[in-house]
Amino acid sequence: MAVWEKNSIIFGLGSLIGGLLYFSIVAWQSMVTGALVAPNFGIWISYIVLQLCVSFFGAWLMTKHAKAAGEALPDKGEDERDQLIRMRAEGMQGHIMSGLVFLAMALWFIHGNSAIMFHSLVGALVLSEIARAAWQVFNYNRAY
Amino acid sequence: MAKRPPITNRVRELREVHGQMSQSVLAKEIGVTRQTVIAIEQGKYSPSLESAFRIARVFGVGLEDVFGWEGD
Repeated sequence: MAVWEKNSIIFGLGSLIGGLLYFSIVAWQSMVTGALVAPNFGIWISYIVLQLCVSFFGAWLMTKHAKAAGEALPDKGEDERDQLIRMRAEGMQGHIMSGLVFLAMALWFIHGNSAIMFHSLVGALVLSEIARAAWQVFNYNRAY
Repeated sequence: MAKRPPITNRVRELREVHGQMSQSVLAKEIGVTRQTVIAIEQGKYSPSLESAFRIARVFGVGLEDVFGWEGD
């Protein structure tokens, strides 16, 4: 498995775990208060910090394992195939992201509730990141 | 699953002819990762024109001695 493929899996998992934490806290607090919880800096930053921690710790472990296994890391970063796969995945991520941002804005016009828009935007970030990672892994395993 | 590109190659065969050259050595010579060499050999990835020329030069042969069009 390519080093950058493993990296994509790790970053995808980081987004998934961070997103799950964010939305479980939002859901739990909303159930307690009986209304959709307003955007909260603490919850939002916890999502960012958890995502970064999982991603960086995972990338550190992967690098350590790759070195121990004698699987040399590419000294100049990505090669042409890695770049092509990353660009395709980023292109798709952009489409998903813009679609979801459009939906979040539409929700604001329908409900006039900025909390819904904020949480939808976080959801757009999480989903587009997971989709990018999944598409990257898929492209590493297909012929083209 | 996407259709394989209609480009064939003799990279594995040429590696064996050239003293069992490893995939890692070839990868280093042409400036890609070993996984990319594996993908090329399996026909899952068609390299760029630059990499194709680099591969041919490593083996000291012409481009058409390494790569071909399926059915030709």
